[in-house]
Amino acid sequence: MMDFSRFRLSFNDAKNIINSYDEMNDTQFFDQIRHWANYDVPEENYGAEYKPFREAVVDEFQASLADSGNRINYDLDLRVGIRLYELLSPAKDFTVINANDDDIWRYISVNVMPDITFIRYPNLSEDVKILREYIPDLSYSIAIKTEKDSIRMKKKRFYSHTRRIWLKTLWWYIHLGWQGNSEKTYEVLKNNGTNIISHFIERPGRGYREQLFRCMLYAYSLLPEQKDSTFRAAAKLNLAKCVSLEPALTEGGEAEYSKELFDEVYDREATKQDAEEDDTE
Amino acid sequence: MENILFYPTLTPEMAEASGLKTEKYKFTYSYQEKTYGLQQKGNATIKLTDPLEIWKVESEGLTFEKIIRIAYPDLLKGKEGIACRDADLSICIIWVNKKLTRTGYILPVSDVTTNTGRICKFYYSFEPGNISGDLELSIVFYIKKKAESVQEGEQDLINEDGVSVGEIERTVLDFSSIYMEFPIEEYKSENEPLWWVEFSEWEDPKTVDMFSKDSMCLYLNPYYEGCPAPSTNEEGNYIKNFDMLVDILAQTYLMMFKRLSEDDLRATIQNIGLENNSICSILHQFIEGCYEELHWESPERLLKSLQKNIRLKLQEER
Repeated sequence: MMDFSRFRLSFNDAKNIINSYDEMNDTQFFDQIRHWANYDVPEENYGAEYKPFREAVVDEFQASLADSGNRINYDLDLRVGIRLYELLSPAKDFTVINANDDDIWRYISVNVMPDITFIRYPNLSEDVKILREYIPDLSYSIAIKTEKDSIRMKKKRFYSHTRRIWLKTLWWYIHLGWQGNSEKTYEVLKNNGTNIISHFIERPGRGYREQLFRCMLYAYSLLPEQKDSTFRAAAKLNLAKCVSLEPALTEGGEAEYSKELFDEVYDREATKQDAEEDDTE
Repeated sequence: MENILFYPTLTPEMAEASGLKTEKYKFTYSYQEKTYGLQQKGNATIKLTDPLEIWKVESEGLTFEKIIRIAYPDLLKGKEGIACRDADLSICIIWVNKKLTRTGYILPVSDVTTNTGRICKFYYSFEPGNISGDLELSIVFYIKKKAESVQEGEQDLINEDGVSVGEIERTVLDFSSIYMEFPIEEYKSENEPLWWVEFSEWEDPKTVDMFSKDSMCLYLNPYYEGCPAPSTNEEGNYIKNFDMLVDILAQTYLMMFKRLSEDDLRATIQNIGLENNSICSILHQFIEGCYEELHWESPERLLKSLQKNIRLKLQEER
């Protein structure tokens, strides 16, 4: 069992490292991108204990890219997230306290896996051209948006925003969607999209209710069609209901509550759509 | 907005009429298969301490017991109550751990009604690795099973499963005491003044410098009769020279606020980019916990408002 408390990176130390990339001239930074495009991160940058962990996550990242024709999409996030969660699972003593510790995620993102974090979230679209020298036809299902206040590296995704550090958000997304094993979790989450990850992680309400979230994602997967708007509406309704209600204490518990929640929203959206179609006719 | 509800909920009058009583929490932890008690200080906000200095909530977890008694539970039902006569009204504890952004519920281990009333007993353990920083425990009434039939006069009552119909008690546990407690040392010397403060060189009080003895320390000199001595009795709820301590702490906080740059002060007030347990983060919590607004317009007005708030805070803790 790895002692995660040994491998931490403070906000300031992470900032200094990212600043050092920002301060590189173009030649130096483009060279750095080429190293990352080859998944070349010096082993002395991180503890030896992290080596097998890094290899496993990078393997999954590469396999996912290979399967998608080098397209960065939701499926890549999901597969990397599940692999990450398998390796850092609560069953293997990676506690929710560890999972909430930004210093641990900063260490992983900045020191252990800056390459895949950068490939997943480049800050400038012209940098993708350099990545493509080694990852042919690399493309993104969601267009690259340059992060305000960041220069070469998206600092929010690496270290600065507690609910946006990429690998941390993936861990929490899988944790809150966990269905008992990796296969079932993949099946339940496979039709979602990247936006759902941010909806879930960035709007915790009073706090994450793990079992409820797992039931909600399961109920959502059972709908005939998974639309972002349905999920957003259900998540909003859930937050409003939870002000005065504890879903676990309703008859049928979280599972029934979640099913009714999504059915209600889905039916309402379907009725609205029918009415709109009638108006058009 | 969160607390506006369109149905009747528990009022202090109802609680009193129904003979609602809560016993004090009992907090324990397990270490090497033995159970040890924790000492508690405060009411609405409780600080827990371990006389053996073994316990940390992160590594040892926390177990608690709580008993709630209702002498006349039937008075809570019907048109003058909070639930329909035929509904099943129950009690649970909703917990929130803000630091880890987690919430959950706890059901009683026993809930017995006899002719002397209803007794609800909670016994629950948070396992190691699951809680950190803080814990809020809110004991609430909720509708366990809605009434099949709503009787005459009960139309205004909520009749839905799982809905909370009033809070009985809310308690906040503060585990970050090594940071929340002001770093104070006693130093007896006839050559030194009654009190003084030492600050280290702060690098970045928002992120790097923790609210601990590494960054600052208040020295009290018991050589003088007027020197305050916090926690000077066994239960830790008596403060010798209380008024002097209020004055000293107010001046110390003033010095700390004045030490911050304008940007850091703004970040502290607005909670922007503050690392847990950093100086600015603890100062932010301090500001948030003030009973009256702090006056930032001038040092003298700030000092006055600090004095008022610190007095109220210390009185609450006692």
